[in-house]
This record gives sequence, C-alpha cells and structure tokens, in this order.
Amino acid sequence: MDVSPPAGSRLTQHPCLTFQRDKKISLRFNGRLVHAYEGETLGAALHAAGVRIFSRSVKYHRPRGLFCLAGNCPNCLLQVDGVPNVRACVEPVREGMDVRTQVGWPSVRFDVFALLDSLGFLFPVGFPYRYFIRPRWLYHWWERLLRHVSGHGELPAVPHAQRGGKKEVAHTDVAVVGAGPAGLAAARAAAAAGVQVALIDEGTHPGGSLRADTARYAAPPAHAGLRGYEIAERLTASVSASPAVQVYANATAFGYYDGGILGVRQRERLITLSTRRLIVATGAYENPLVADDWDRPGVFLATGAQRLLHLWGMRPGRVAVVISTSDFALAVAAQLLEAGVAVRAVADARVHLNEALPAVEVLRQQGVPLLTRHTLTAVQGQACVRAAILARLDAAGQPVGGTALLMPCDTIVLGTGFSPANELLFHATYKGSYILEASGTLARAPSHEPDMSVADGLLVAGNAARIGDLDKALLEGEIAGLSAALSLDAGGATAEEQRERAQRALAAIREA
Amino acid sequence: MDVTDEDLARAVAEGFDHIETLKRYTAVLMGPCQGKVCAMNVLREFARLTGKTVAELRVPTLRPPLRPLPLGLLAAKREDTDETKNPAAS
Repeated sequence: MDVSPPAGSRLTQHPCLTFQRDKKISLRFNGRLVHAYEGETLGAALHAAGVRIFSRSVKYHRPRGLFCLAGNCPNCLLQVDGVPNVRACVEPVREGMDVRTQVGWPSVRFDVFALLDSLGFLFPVGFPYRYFIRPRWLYHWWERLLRHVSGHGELPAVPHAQRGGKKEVAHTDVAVVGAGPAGLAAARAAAAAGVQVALIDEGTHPGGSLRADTARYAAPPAHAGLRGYEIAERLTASVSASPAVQVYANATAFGYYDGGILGVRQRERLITLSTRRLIVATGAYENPLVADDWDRPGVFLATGAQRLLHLWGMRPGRVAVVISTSDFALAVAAQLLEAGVAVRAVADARVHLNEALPAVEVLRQQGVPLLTRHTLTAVQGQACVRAAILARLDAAGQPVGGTALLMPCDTIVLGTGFSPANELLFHATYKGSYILEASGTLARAPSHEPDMSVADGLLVAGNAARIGDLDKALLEGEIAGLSAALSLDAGGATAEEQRERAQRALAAIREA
Repeated sequence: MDVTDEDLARAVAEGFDHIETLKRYTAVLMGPCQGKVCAMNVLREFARLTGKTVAELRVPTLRPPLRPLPLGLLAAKREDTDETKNPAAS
C-alpha cells in the first residue's frame, strides 16, 4: 500500500540552518502536479511530495526509493523531459519539468512484474546465457521483452546529437578533481605557490561532504569551533578569491587518459582538459550494510539522510533506527533528533562508545537506546520500511540466534562505513592494496609517497587516499597541492617549508 | 543488478571463482552504480566464498567513463576555445 507522506516533510525550523525557499516551481510527476522550490533536487522535491517508490529493480522488480542522495546508486533513475535514466537525487528542479517513472506496469507503485520476486527460481544466476538462445528469432524477441520489462527508459524522441552539445579543449597546470576539503586545500595551496589550477567538482557548489555537515570541529586549530558547512564556506571563499583557480562546477571528470588528458563533462559540454598534474580528491562512497530486504524504500545511507536534512531541509521519515559502526553515524543520529525525527534506537556494532562525544551526550539525554554490539539482520516491510530487526553480535561479530529485536520504524539509516572513491587513479595506474578497516569495511587504498604522489604526475588526497578525518584531509590536500606545484618548479623554498610543516602535522595526527 | 548472495555462491560453485569471470557471469558490478555502492560488499562476500585473503583481492579493471555519457556528446562538434572564456558559467 502507499505510504501517506509524513506531515510536512519540509522542515520550517532548524537549530542552525535556514533553507532558501524563495522561488516556487511546479513540475509534473507521472502527470501529477508537484510543487518544489528552486535549489532543490528532483529527488528531494518528490520526497517532500510523498513519493517513496521511484523505480523497480531490474530483475525482481523490487520497489526502490531514495538511498544515497549522491547520484551513485541506481534507485532514483527517472525519465525527465524525454531523457531516460536521469538521477533524480542530483538533478536540480526546473519549472515545467515533465518527470515519469521508467519501470513498472501498470504503475511503479502497483507493478504486476513484482511477481518475479517470488519466481526467482525460474531465472537462476546466468540465465541470460542459457534461455531462449535458439531458435534465433525467438532470442531477439526475448531480448526485446527483457529490455522493455527491465525498465531502463525509452530513448528520447530527439537524438542527443541534435539537442546541442559542445566539445572544447582547455589547458591547465594542475587539475584537482573534487572540491571537498582536500580538493579545496590542494587548489588553494597550488595556486598560492604560483601555478594555474582547474578545480573540477560534480556539485553545484564546492564543499563536498562538508556542505551537509553541521557537526562542530575541534581540529584543525584554524577552524576550531566551526561547523562543517561553515568551514566549507570559508575554504570556498578563499579559493574563489584566487585568480589562478578556475572552478568547473556541475562537472564530472569521467576519465583520465594517456598524455595527461582529463575528460570532463559539464552538462552539455565535453571538455578535454590537458593537464600536467592531476590531484584526485574525490572523497568516498558510503557503503551499506547488507541484511535481508535492506533495499526497501525508507532505508537511507547516513550521508544521504544528512543531505536530505541539511541541504534541503527535509525529514527522511518520522521514526528512524540508526545502524552504526562509527562515530559519524552517531553524529547523524543526533542530527536526526535535532531536526525532529524520532530515533527509536541506535544499533552500534562496536563494544564501547565514546561517552564524551557530543552526539552520544545528546542521544543519552533524549533517552535514545544505544545498543552496543548490535546490528541489523533484516528489514520488515514491502513497499516501505515498517520495522528493523536487530540482533546482538558475538565476539566474532556474528549475529547471535534468539536475540532478535523488532523495532517498528519507517526509516532506517545505515552509517556503516566508507570506501575511497578513487577509480580515477586506476585509469592510470594500478598501485593499490586492500585493507580491512576496524569498522569491518573493506577499502582499496592507493599506495602513495609522503608527498601524496601515486605515480608520475598523479597525486591523491583526503578520503580518496584513505578514510580519515577533516584535519587529515586538509593537510593531505595542502601537501598534494604544494607537491604538484613544486614538481613544476614553482613555489620555491616557501612552498618546501610549508609542505614540511604540513607533513609533520600529518605525522603527529597519525601518531595520536 | 538484483544479484543476491545466493547467486554469488552458486556462481562461484559453478566455477566462476575469479572476480573478472564472476562479474561477467552474474552481471554484478555492471549495473548503473558500477560498484560505487556495492563493490566492497561484493568483494567481501567473494573473499568469503573463495577463501581469498584481503591482500589477494582486486576489483575488476576500471575503465572510463566513470559516469554514463551520451554518445552524442562524444561525437559533438569541437569548437575552438577562447582561453579567456569563463569556464564556471554553467
């Protein structure tokens, strides 16, 4: 059944944030009129309008809803103004948008093909290689049927080539991909050392994950006491003020090619950016915890819930259960509380929590049960989350039978680890090793030198190198920016000294 | 997409115990997310099923583009760029 929208998904009040809601916009979703505000993304606007099921999974037609809010997962793909597979969660709203779901018959909410979820045994793994191969005429018909049922959208009526697109060539000394804290620090340091910098970021505004971060930071000293988004504003301002930095917003660096060519797509412009040095500061992907039926609408990644809350001022739901393996998830749980979402419980896989953390104090004050040594084993609900099933973990980290706890809720927030988003590095080199983090997440970390270089002309900084804190990201960014400039014979002794100071500070953090 | 842990277990049992062949047989990591969300979970399960250690793991070869691109854009006419144009305008 449909989920009625939580009364007023849009927050009107928040302890520290104000939300820009000046210009009203109307768009159509499957023919239905939806109101939004300029600056919101399509996904957020639809969420506020009560939409929870955005698509269906390819094979089993399981209902899928907003999850990552970062353009990384396949759940929110919609047909917008005739263009298929648009990631609603990062697409800005425009007046008069015509939005349609791509999959499900007769509708995405009541999909006949959801029967396939019970008929999985008829389509075992590898079935595309075995079914209907002969006779050949049947195979082509079968393929067309599969394509249609899987819901990847219809081709636009107007071919892309006729819709206008431009190819351009640009040059720079140092290209920095990612305008989060590490990228901003790198761009600033390189520009100050005297080289031309191109800062490329997928977002509309620089700042990366800091933009949605309301936590107060104690380190580094330069930003002590500031909230994440305030630090992002400061860093962005200092970079914008530098004439040597060209910022490419809404731009995706999609590939790094031989000869130092970075392929960048900025909406309908394809830019071949010729660069002498590349700094990859692309941050991290948040990883979900896998449990039975963890893909139900209403399950969010912690960074996704945080973005909904802080970038667009919307509650993910009314009652949430937070699954945690790190302090970050606890901070998000406290932020949910601040925004008026009831937190039913926090299940943390760890044995001990740091009681001195501000987030833990807030949660305890509000009487939120903090269940250590607990994790999520299953999600109840079909079209949406109805409850979370938690279980206690034994010393080996395995769920103990008979300890299942049923927690009714409409939202589950997974704060269960990050892995570096460093694919761009591996277009040019393969020098990486896998590590199993303490939180149990697996991460691929590139091996890099103390000057943050991975290979000739290729450097890395921040979470893209290894998951860590803000001060690590800022220092690594600074070191990478200075190293890039120094390797181009810019910056001189001042830059060398600055780099040494940053490296010493970084070493001090590592030892702490 | 829609690959379950049972699917992975069955595929490995059928002999697809190298990540490259497992990926091609099950289509895991080949959906719209291209492993952004799921790769580490898949690798961890793969390690468990094949008994490989963390050090022996590798992700299948990564190739551009990192995000989908319309072919029409790649085929677009190239314009000679004026270096003084403001690239931030978009």
